[in-house]
Amino acid sequence: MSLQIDALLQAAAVAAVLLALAYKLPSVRRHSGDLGLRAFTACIVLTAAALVVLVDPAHSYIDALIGVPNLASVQGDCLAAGSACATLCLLAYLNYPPDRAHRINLVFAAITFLVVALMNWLFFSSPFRPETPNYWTLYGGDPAIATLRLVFLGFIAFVLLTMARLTLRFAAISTRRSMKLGMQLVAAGGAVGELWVVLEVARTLVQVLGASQPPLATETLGRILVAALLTLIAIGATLPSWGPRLGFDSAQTPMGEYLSLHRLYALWRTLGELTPGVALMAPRSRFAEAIDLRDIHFRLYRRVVEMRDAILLVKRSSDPRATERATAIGLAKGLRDDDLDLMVTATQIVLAVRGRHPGGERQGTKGASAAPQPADLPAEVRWLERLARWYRRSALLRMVSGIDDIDLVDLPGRADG
Amino acid sequence: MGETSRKLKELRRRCVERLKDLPLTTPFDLERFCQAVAEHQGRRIVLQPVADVGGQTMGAWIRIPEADIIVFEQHTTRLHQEHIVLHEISHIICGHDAPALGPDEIALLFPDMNPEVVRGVLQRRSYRSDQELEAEVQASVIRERGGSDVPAGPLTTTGDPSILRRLEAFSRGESAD
Repeated sequence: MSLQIDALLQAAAVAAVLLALAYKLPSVRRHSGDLGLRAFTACIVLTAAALVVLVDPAHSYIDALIGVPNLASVQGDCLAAGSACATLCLLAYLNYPPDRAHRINLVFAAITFLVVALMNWLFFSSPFRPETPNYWTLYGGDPAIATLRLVFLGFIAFVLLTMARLTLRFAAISTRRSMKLGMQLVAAGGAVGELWVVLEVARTLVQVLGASQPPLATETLGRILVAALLTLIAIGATLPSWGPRLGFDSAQTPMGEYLSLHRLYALWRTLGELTPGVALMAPRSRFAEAIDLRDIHFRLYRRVVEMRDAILLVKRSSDPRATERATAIGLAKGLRDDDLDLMVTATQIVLAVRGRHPGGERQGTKGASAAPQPADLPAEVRWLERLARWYRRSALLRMVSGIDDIDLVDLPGRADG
Repeated sequence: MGETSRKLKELRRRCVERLKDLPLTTPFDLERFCQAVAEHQGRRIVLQPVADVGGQTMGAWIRIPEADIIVFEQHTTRLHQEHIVLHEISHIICGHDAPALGPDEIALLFPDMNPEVVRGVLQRRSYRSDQELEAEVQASVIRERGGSDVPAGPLTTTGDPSILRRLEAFSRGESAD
């Protein structure tokens, strides 16, 4: 059971890093010469390779193929050290100008080479032991193997600390929410990684100091921590790219924007039918819209622009007499500012839908509204949602049905906001 | 995926790629953006609000020898005006051609303008032409990528702007060099 959980955790971690690579691969191909993107790719590929090498069946297969028992355990850690070095290089390219980053990265590469060389020397200088997937748990009491493990853990602790420190610095200067949150998640991954290092150091020291072997459950706990740290880093490193498409950088929450898309749907379709030229794409069914969770912020922005285009065209073609009459009705009913503007605009749309504006001279948009205008996207969305509510109010429809007869029925009170 | 959808997706990818060299800020600052485009093009950009541009037109890009004039509808909201302006600026960014109009057409559209100085005009009316479609997508991408409506206050950076530039380039999958 424990082995199944271990394999599952390992598979989840591999999947997380490979997904991160797949997401970035098109960029890497387009800018193959960019050193930062190269370092990112190396980091992901080496991490995935380390995770694959460290578990069965790859672990046993590699050892059997080369004929050196438990070699995969050490080489898996060497790959992880290489991945850690690539992480440091990426951070240096982000944090320093290219020349300075290049010089720093040469030092990182030299340190990593020394660490890997020392690990291999310690491994080959101690006697080979029977093959096992739990190498560190079973043989960690041996001073050479314990030293090997502590060298590796020390290097990883240094990398994770540097990563957490720099990504928190990036988060502090970020101007986008998705960037800030992404960097904080990477830093959190670093903190989880340090917990894993502490756990592994404790497990090693327990054996060296002659106590019993650490329980296997601590190995599972270690794998949980590794899966958590890699998932946090994979999500955090890619969030600044895909976050804006889900609305992370907008003032509204992604869920709020999704609901706004839904609330504006009916009026947007109506306006699109009145003014077919304003839409970039033919509208889809409400169901197709509802199940599409991609690009919510972009779609909401497009919806607002297309509705504003259509409203402008509807206002331009409205019969000025009907507009004046609607304004008079609104004023008589105590509507002012925004509410009056909403009511008049909704009336113009209703009349346009009914085709009741033929022959009248163009009103133009001059003096159409003195009401305060929405200043940003959330304010625009709120205004259009209120317009959508005005538009579907039955009382308004009854009112405009009598607009030609000057025989008015009940008006709604102030529009709810 | 339909052909239109694929075309738009590809167009959007190209438009995002084009943003690499443009100074986008949070929150979006249209004036700074126009200045940067003008400096990049080496031509002055003049923003001219007009009440009732007329017909289906909401904005226009007029090329005269010494400047690019962006005409936009006065009687609409700020965000809508910004989008109309961005659409016209996008024509410039995308390197589109503004076709020449006859003096009568110019006089009809812009009665206050001397038709002899007008070198070309593009109007935002519909997206039937590839140029109009591209400019509209470019404008939307600029607003999407460059400007959330999050207030600048607590998120304004005080750190090294070159780090931020490299971070943003990396997040967009672009080269930071």
